[in-house]
Amino acid sequence: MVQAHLQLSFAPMWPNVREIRERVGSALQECPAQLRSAAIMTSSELVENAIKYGESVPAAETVTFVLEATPERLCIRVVNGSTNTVGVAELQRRVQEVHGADDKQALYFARLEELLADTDESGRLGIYRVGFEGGFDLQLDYTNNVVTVTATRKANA
Amino acid sequence: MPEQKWQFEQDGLIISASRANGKGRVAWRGISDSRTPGIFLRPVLRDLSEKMKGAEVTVDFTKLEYMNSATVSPLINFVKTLDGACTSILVLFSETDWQRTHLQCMRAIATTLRHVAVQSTPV
Repeated sequence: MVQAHLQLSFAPMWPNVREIRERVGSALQECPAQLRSAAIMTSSELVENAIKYGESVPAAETVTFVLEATPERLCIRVVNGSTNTVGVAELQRRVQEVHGADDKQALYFARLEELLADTDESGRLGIYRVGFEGGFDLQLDYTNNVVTVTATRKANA
Repeated sequence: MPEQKWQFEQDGLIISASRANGKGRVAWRGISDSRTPGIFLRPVLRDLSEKMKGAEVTVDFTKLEYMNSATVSPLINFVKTLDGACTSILVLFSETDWQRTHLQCMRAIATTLRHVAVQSTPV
């Protein structure tokens, strides 16, 4: 796998999600298709969350996206502001679930079953998708109203 | 009855549907990445479920290039609704990397439904 580094800061506006997918796709052009596809999806889901639930705070006025690819490892980091401690706690809970799960597929399926049982339900699937479909491990840090979500996986996983 | 055709489009997503001689087809193309896809998809898919009532339906996702996780709920509930309204439903996915997960999930969901079969097609 090639080395790649991408860092972007942008306003929390929805068209930037598509832009991120395109930029990540270009940066990882030489990667195996499966890894590239997983990175594009993961970047997109995490940036969607940052735009949906984030807000401008003094320590993070915009959303920051970082992609680091080495021959061994792929790391995607998304940083956004949030004063919604309840919302961040819920995100943290899901990140912890994925981080501690031996069976990430089971988490994803369980959420799918909930969505299937209640047609009015939606959302809260993206983090599980990152773990299951993307094969990424997740970590979250919340300091000074700044949420940092980091997704990592081995390049050859 | 002559073939009936319908098409729905929004922001890069195209859903084409047709019905003739008791057979229906619903094909998704492009990208579904809107912030709230359900606002567009739920009424469209409800309408299509009505139009496909009693038919043998193929739902083809092979030309879908990308969808965000918010699209998954309307999509699986569409298949569930068709299961209650149609005589058989064949769901097609491609063998691209990202679609493989959804193929796997739809296969698991299909075990809880009565009339749904799921297949993959080569890229």
